[in-house]
Amino acid sequence: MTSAYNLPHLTVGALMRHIVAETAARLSERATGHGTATATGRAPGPAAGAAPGHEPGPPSGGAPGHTPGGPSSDPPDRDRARPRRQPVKGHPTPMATTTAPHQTPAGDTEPRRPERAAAHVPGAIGADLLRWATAGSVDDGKSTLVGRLLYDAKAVLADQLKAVERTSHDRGQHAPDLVLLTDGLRAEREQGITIDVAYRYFATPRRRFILADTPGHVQYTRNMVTGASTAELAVVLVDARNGVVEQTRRHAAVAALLRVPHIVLAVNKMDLVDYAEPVFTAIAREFTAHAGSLGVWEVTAIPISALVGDGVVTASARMPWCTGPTLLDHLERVDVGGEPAARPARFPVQCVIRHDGARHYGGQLTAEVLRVGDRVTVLPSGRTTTISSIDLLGRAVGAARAAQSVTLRLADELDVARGDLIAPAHAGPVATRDVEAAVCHLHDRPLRPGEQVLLRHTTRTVRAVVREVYGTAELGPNDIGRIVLRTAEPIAADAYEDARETGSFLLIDPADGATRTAGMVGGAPWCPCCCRHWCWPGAGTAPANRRRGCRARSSRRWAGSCPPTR
Amino acid sequence: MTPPGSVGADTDNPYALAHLDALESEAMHIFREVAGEFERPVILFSGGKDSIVMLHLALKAFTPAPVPLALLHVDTGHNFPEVIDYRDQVAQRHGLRLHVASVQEFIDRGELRERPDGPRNPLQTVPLLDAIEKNRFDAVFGGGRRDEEKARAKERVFSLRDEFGGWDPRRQRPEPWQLYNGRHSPGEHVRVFPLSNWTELDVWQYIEREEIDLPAIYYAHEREVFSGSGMWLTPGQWGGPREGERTERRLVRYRTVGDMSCTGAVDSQAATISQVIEEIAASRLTERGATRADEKVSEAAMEDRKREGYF
Repeated sequence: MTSAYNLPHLTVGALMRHIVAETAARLSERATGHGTATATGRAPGPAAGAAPGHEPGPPSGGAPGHTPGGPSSDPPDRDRARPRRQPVKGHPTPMATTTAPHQTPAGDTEPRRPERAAAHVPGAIGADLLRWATAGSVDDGKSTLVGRLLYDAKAVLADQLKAVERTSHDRGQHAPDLVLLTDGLRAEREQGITIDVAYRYFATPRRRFILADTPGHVQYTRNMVTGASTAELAVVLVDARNGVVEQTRRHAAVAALLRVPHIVLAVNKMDLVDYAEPVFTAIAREFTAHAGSLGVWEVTAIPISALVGDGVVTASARMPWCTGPTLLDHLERVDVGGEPAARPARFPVQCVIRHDGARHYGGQLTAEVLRVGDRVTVLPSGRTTTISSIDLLGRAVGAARAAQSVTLRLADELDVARGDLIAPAHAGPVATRDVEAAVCHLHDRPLRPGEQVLLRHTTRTVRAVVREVYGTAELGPNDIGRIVLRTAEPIAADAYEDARETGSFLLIDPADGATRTAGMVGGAPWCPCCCRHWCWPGAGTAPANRRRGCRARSSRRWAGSCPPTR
Repeated sequence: MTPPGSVGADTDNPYALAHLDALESEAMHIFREVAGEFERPVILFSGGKDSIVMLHLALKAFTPAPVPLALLHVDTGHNFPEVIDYRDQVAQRHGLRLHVASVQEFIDRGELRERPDGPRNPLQTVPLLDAIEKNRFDAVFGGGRRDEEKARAKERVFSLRDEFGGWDPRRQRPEPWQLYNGRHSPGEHVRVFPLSNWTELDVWQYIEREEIDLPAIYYAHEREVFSGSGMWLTPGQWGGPREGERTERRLVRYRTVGDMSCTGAVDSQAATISQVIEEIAASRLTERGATRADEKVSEAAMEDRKREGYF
């Protein structure tokens, strides 16, 4: 591995003491017989071991002559020779991208295409800026992981560390509590849980990172929606001792629903399972299969120990079977940002800037490229005209590309206002008043059929009524479901799977302005009829859902679109 | 170690924007959203680097037309004279209406009481809310960044304040995608933070790229200072130096600009923007940790002040 910077192994005395204390506690825990998973003999290969972008290879039944590091309660030897970081030919790497086994829905002979999951991300994002989110249940070490990344990337500075130490000391704790670095609200510190999304900023020589650190508690799933909506990559954390649990499935489902383009499974606390490859492989295999059933086709699985630091920033000598990247390596190298010309351009008009009798339309291009001279349609009116000039913040340019804020001028005097959408004349979305969507309900007040709401789509706000809520009488807080809306005026929306920015919307309470529901136009990546109950193939709750019976299953609209149940 | 400041020099992806372009474009989007949704927006302008960058972004967002926003400055009465001069020049140069809410006037009228320990930063809340109410501002741009402080890390880009100007962190509106919900009832207002995703280093790199003028106190200069609250403070009528504290002449610069009673200078030789960037990239202290005496009081000092309506 070539790392351009040297990372201290938490050499600051206080942190070191913290880690020593924690490790000692764990070692004594291990001595009492807890977590003594032993790994002998051959390690089974991962679910599949293809490099990104390649066809999934056959499941590897046996990695030739390779045994995992095996259990060791000896103190780690940091100076041992580093394992090779290049994947060995013919030996599927546990940390290489694993691709879900291909599943074809019943009655659907068309194989689904992997690129569905790679919807473009809103916001102006470059390849040197990665927006990512963490998800994981309580106590799986998420805050420790974030604390370590922040510390190792020099994003925790001396005075912050001192404040953490002071507070920990005031509370009678012997070691600084890294959670205090991220839990910024009084209520969070009092209750010891993360309630709201916290944004963190750090940089390495390769990239800048905006991290949305999201809460793990079930009742704050809505905050994970906020964090994941703009993320290009989500890290789902799993405790190696517990494996894939209900919360893991839920987090994977939210990430899949929001179409986060890259999903990373971080199997944490590998130190507590003696760095055993089979433990990791089994979890990676189970998670990958689950993700596949949600329509997520690529999962990168990485074994780590956030507390000790293995596999997070530096490669672990205790996991010689790992030949893939560390977590930070992957975050630095994953291919994000702009995209090739995959989707037609979209320009929601934000405001009209009048100057010297001319009308300039201000907005942010959400996809692809618009050029001077392009024929465009203004939606929802449907009139066509030509782009006569483009200004990039005061400078005339020939073309604008995705994520740039620009102003356009049009050749014809049309009635264009905030809320209109400018799109290529040959490839504009269809304006409609009937919207079907997957939604995550965010507000304490439930959403019921017949309710009047305001629908906010790009820069346009229209009145709407909830026509139907599938499979249930109402949606409560944190519920995910499917609804049908009828709007007072047409909106020009894309399917969310094609475009996050022009496929997403909010439902707003007309009385008090509260944001109640986040919506995604089009289909959910799993059985839409019972997604409220978190039902998917292979999930533990599926039989219960089958017993409940899904009313929508008989609906003609959804017939045939359910993936097969096992 | 390569300083993080060198990030983004090379990108292989021709479709990607460099990170400063990305942050700039996002800020433009936020300014234009406010212009499209609100009647009476105002920019909080202190003459500090963040508010200067904010104004620069606003000027770009509405070019070629003039900025449809006014400026509001909460003057603690203990401001650096260089900064006040800068503020007045900027307002005049761009033809902007400048509202000044004066802490001193409130104290003189007996509506505010000076704190025994000196700092006037916490006293700014009352004049600020008074100015917002009197002028019926419905959107108030602030230069707050999420990297500054833990409570700010949880703040939305569009942050609703009730009729008392209060912030309730537990009842924040979810803000998925770039769909900012600015609906509010009469009497309420929305604080808007276009620099939410910027870091101190981003701000300085942007200042360098755009060649933005700053008040001279941001660069190393000789100044008579005394050591108080563990930082270099400028002597003045706000109670320093006390007996036993001696002033000395040092080469310093300011990382932040606020009330002189509680804003400290740091030892520095950085006389140019690029030297400042180098210095920040190497610093082991956060911007506020190095320069703000009033935030060392308690873990939740910022959250408590924000709840009451602070910036």
